[in-house]
Amino acid sequence: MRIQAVSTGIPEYTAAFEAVIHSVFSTSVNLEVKGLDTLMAILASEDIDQPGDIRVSYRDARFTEGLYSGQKVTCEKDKITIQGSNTWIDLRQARRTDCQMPALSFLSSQGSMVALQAVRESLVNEKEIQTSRSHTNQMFEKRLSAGVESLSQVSKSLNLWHAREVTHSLIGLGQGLTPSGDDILLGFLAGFIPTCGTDPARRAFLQSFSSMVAISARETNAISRTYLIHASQGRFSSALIHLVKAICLELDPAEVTAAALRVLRTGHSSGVDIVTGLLAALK
Amino acid sequence: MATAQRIIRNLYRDSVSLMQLSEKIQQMPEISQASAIMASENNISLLVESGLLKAGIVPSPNDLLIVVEGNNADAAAAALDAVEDLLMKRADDTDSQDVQSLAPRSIQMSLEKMPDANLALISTPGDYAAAEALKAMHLGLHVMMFSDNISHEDEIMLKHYSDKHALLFMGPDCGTAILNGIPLGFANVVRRGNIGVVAASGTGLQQVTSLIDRWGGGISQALGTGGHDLSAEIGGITMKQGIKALSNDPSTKIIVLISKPPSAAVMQNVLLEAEKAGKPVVINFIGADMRSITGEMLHGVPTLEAAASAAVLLARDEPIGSVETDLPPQLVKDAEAAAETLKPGQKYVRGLFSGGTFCFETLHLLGQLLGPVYSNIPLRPEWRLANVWQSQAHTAIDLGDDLFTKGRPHPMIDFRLRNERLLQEAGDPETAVILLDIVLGYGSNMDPAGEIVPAMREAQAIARKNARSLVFIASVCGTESDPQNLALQEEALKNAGVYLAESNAQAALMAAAVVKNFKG
Repeated sequence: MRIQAVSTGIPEYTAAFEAVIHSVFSTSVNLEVKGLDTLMAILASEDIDQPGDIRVSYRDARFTEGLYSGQKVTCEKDKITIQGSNTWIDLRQARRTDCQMPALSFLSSQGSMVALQAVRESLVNEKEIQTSRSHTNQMFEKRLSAGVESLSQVSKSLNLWHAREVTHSLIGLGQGLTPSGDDILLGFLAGFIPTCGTDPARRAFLQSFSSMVAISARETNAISRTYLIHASQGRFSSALIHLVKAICLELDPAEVTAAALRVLRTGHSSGVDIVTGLLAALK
Repeated sequence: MATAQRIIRNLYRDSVSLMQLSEKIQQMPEISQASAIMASENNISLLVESGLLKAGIVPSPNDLLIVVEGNNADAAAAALDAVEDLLMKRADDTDSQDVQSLAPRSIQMSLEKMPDANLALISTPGDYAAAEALKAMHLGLHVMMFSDNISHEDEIMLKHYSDKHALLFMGPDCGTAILNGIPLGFANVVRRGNIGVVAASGTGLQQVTSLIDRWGGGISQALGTGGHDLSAEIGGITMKQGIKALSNDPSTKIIVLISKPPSAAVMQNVLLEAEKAGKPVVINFIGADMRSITGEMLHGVPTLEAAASAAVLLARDEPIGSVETDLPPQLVKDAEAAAETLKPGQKYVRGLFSGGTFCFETLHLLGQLLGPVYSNIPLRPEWRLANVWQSQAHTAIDLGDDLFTKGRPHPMIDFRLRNERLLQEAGDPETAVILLDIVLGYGSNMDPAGEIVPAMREAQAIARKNARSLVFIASVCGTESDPQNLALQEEALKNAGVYLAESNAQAALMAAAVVKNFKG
């Protein structure tokens, strides 16, 4: 069965490779690719590109059926074949994306404050819908909140020692396949980038902090680590990039809210955690 | 209490599954707490700190850690075994989740499942509604927005966007429409036909479409515009869109427009658009001076009933004749008889309405006949009730107003507030007539008569204790095809001694006739 890929992230990965299936989910599979230190995913999504991933249409989500961890996967001449499966993925007409955060500037203007307020309100509303009141959740919440507060301070102080501490305290912390602490760090990185502008101190801090996150990512699972490493290199999902753009370009609050909701509704709580980290950087 | 833990190597489940797993474990017998998380160093340290986990577990972030706290060690161990079975069973299934049945989480995903859809009905909290409406229109969908409480600026932005892109935007606060014979929101089941309606009023639309159906006519389309469409800032964008759409619709022969009176400038623009329709247009701007509605194909009428009547006659190519609403002879007699039952001191009409437009129309009609009528939506500022929870003189209340519905279902669904007010009016020696609207159709209470008749009986008992009796007058807005069974509802109300009028206007006229006839 031929499945047409819609887009591929980071073109150099997808020329030719050998891989093994790492994990299978209902609408995606992760691949351990020979020579890469991050996983590559093939995912079925309506419209969101993830860095380093190959996207197929949501209508083709069934491609994961029958796949299992350990299956060999090969990519040759823009065709991905899976050993033992008659499903193959055609990359030939796939759009190339790189999911790189563009050069944006976040200015503390009235327009951006209005945009941030729209994001904050959307976050509060979404949290109300999602929050579970279990005791375990509350335990994590306390530590995560402390981490978020520390990140806000770090965003102003640019204190690397403090940044190292808070990174260590958040990595791998929380529930979910991509633990909340990881998502908060990812969101923070996305929000911090546009605050750098031409400020050499902020740019230097970003470089160091990104390296810190990439190294610390060893302490979390392979799937979450992949996203953190991409984030440390300035690569994020298209939905998150769109939200950052909407804030920096001071779009209409309704547009900002729409962009925020797309991110907020990712995963179980990943979206909420990512936006929390984003706001900590832009506070 | 006892805790237990298990590590399951290299097992990946998405976050939603992990959350569901945690909840499932917590529901198991004798289990008080549970967590299914990745075995990272931070997670382990937090659980050790909280006492849920014993120290000594080596972190392995790619593994799944299940921790449970139960009433005893056996319960905890049993829970872990059950969880592992569950997880392994899922691992063996080819894919236990049918991916094609994944519920769409966005308008775009929904559109992919239903590519022929051309309308999004939005009913979300106000904060999200504008964004969702914009997303829908970006995708080329028309919008019906049930939601209210969007900002004024957003409303203007959305209306202008819809106009620019030739999309219909019904709302905000549009609770009623009938599209291609399908009732949306609060709406009645009506016959299909050749009369199209555009209304800035939900119950106005319901009254007109129900009466058209009752009198043998049918509805092509019934479009709601939302309550603010005819304001000066918005200028009737949706009403004009509706007129254009019905003008171009081959199955629409007659167009009906319903609204409270717009400003002069907006009215002129709407009338200009109506003139261009090329079809007869019946216009009820409730309370407006009909002399301001001129045009060869335009027919201004004073009441919702008259609008329905005119539309049905025009659809049959018959002349309209007089547009005034009169009481039928039977109700004239009934009003005289009802007046005889009143005692000295009983002099006021107390209208308790679930439909805002019914209340508004009543205020106009009673105002012309009885003088000042107090309300929470008064026609003049000096007629605003000093205390909305207390009637004074003639009073008509819109119980669907936000003031009354905060934290409560709408009175068309929940009769408690209206019943309480009914009993309060019964205790007032100056109350002569209690006037009501009963609204059937989708979205409304499934047995309005069953809800209100006991309160009426109790009210009569209160009046009788004080040697008085009350006159109940109501109109039932509905059709034979509505789920509540119109005939049964009317029978139950009549058996309870309620005088039933065919329309809200007639009910108001009858209420006025009763108090005017009473010589006490």
